[in-house]
Amino acid sequence: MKPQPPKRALQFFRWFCREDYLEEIEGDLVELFEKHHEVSPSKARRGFVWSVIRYFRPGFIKAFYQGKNSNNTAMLRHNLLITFRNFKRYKSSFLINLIGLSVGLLSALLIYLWVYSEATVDGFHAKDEQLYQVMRNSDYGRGIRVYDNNSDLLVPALKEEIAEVEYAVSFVEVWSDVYLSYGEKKIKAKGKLTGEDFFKVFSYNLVQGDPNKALSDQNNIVLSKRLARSLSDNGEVELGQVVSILGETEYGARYTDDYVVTGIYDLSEQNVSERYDFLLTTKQFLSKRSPGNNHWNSNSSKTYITLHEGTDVAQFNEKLHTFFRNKRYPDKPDLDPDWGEGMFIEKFSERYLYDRYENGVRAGGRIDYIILFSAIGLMVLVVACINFMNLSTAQAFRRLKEVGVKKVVGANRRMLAFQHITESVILAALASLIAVFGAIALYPQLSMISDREIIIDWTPEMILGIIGIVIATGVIAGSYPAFYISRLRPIQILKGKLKSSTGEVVVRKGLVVFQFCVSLVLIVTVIVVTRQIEYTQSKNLGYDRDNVISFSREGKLLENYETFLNEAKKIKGVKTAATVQGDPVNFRNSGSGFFLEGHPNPSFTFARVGYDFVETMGIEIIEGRSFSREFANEETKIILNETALKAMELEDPVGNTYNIRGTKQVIGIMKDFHIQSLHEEIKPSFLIFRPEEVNTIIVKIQSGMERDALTELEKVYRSFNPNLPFEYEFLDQNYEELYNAEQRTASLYKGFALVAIFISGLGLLGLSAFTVQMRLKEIGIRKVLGSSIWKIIMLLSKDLTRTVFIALFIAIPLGYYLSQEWLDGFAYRIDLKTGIFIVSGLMVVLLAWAIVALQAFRASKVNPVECLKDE
Amino acid sequence: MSEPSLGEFEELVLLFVAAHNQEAYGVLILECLEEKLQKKVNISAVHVALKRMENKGFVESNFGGITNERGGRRKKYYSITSLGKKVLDRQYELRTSIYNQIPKISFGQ
Repeated sequence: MKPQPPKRALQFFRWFCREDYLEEIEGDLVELFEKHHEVSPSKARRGFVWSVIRYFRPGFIKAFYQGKNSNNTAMLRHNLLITFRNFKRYKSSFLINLIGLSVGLLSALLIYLWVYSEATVDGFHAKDEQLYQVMRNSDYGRGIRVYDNNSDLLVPALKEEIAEVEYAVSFVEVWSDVYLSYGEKKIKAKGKLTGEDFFKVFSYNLVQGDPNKALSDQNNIVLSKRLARSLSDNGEVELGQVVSILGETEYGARYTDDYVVTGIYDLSEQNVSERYDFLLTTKQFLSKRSPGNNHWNSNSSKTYITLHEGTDVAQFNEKLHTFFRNKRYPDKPDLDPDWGEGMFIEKFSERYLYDRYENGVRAGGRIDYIILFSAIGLMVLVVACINFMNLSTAQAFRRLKEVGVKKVVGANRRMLAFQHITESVILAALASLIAVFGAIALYPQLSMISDREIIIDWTPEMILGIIGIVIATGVIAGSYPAFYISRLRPIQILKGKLKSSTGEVVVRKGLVVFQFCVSLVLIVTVIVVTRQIEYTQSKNLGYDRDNVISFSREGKLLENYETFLNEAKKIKGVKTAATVQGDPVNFRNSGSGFFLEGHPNPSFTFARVGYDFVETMGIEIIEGRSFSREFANEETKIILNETALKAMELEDPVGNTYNIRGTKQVIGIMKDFHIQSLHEEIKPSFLIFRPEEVNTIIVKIQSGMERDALTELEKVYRSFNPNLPFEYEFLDQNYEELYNAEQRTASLYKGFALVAIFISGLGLLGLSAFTVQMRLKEIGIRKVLGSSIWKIIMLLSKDLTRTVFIALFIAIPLGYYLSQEWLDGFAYRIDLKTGIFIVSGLMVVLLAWAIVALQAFRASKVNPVECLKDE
Repeated sequence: MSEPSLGEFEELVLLFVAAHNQEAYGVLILECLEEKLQKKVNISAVHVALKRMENKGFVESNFGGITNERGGRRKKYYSITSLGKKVLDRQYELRTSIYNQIPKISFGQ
């Protein structure tokens, strides 16, 4: 055995030395080494290494970056040709790949557009950094509650007394729609009342009018462009013209007057959280309100301020808090500072996303949905990418011979990788083209998920985001197959003896498991969400909302609604009719009122009602009676619910008199009913009799007679209000609106879950088709030897079943955890039963089996001659 | 274009190539050099000189056959070209003519 020169040095030499010198010099080096070795081995080794190092000089180092191919364009054309031939040849794989990736990418893009739009809501104001909303919190020893409304006295006081405040403006709702008229036209519209600084605080787009003066006079009105257009027959209502508000509705009556148009704004291009048709001045509001409400404990307006630049928010909050408490509790300087109401500010542009508070601390809100959908979008995209990787690597096996031959002819790894990357990039580019066009076509539908119009600013960052998503998808999805294929060894390939290493198998299986996990979790949560929504719809609420319609008390009904009610009750098919203030399925009034020595003083939710409310709503009275025409002075009486009794620790209160908004006698106890959505616990509540303050009429109709009764009712209504449309709503619809957010989320969620499952299914289809094809010969031989079709199907599904069960094992606990988290948001909720998980598990297993069994079945029907005749 | 120059070490190597025409290869030249010069020379220096002279067109080379020596690696044999011989001749003439001009110098022994 001849002595071997130092291995590393030789390797190094071979690596750097130019090829045309290599053999000669290496030979000389070795010859010398052998000669020296006989004298002194160690010296020979040292000499060898030293010589190698001496060769490391410009003339001998090979060109590492030489452009070996002068035919780059030709190669590119060749690659493209092969790519398209492959697409044509394996149409189904190509389509599965393309559809999977484009659907995934489309979902991700849509979600991105929506998230971007949501996240930038209200962020366009020029003073965004200084713009805050003033919030109020209260703590009476039972947790901190947060409100966004304040006293009307706040704005003038802030401007006068706090130096940091630059501008302040209040915002009051015109609680219901009112009728606006101009010339012959009469339009129902939604408005707000606000202060002079409005257009200085907010950068809403005032297209006509002077931002400094538009809202300075009591009789000014600023219209939205849309309303200005629709009010006028030709063109637009112009500045200086007079528009009237008609007294046909309860609130309309309050503001009935002629107004001068002093401005027109256009929000159609701005990403705003709220839209309204017109603006009046708060001066108008204050002049119409009873002065008795002008105190620091009457909270009717929202307050927005801009701070001077550089104001420290924490310090300002402290100052504001003290300022407010001095106003609110002027006579009690030694009050416990933690008790009662306080004040703080929140950044205005963050209010839209973070509108939920728990015990005074910001606890999410719409941001939860944003996070949820971003996560889903990401999941769907990842599933699509995984699909793409799996299918491409699997498909590459068909082309191993091509790769092998190319390698033999001298293609190096870089060139092969480049070829396959081109292929992936072309596919990904096709998919993203489809996805981008799809997204542009579909994004207007996004308004479905949001309760506002979706407006997208096509800013550079936003477009960069889209491009980023597309490129990242292409690179991630395309890189693995490309590098995997180019790494293969030509000899192995051409021998046809390709064994995947265990690592690769684990990776590929892991990817499939991951896909199924995502699908499973989505299925589980979709079932839970659907069930919970069904539950909210079917739960016994303690009142009967079927066949009850409600409409607002407008026009002539403001004067003599009693006559109307009597007329209505005479109609055949109408059971009863009653009146209430506000929404009968969602009591919004709240307040405390009992000042009873020795009893707790809870906060109440209440409704002002007329006669027959309890009867029309089907609320059960368990003790005493409801308001009745047979008794006088019903205004001084009150009906409590069971929870109120418990909360106040009262026993047998019927007939007793308490101090609740004046002295009131308890005449009845109602069985508990859900006065709000099921998100809320049943609260202590009461009904008081205020027939003059009601604004909603509710009518209970006998089931089966809806059509006739409604036609008759409309006739009666018309005889009172010939000029107004008879617009009514069914209570069960009103009730469903309480769950709008959930409904929308649920439908969207279902959609994306379907997409994810669809993509996973596609992936499985592609993979199983491929496996079957690879094992076609094996199947043929088995059939020749007498194997039955069932045995073959079992054989082919075995692997997959294991994968799916691993996925089940991981996904079920995860799904359970996530569903429980979501359900915790409901005070009344379904139990998570094992049935849900069994059903979703079965669904996935069956789906997977169906897909694989179909492929296997097709394969097993093949005539063995067909698949064995070659080779 | 001026004629390519010939360095001192290159000249020596070229001389050996000419001396062992058709048989000269790296190791052989190295050994001759070491023997004549009585000092250690690195093989890389020989190769550098050979490659340079090949580029200048003074020598040409061709591979020998595969043998069992040197792990089957072929030797590359160098031979001098006519240009190389001309340069060598001119160099020799130049030197001798100048040498002949040296008068008898006595160092005062």
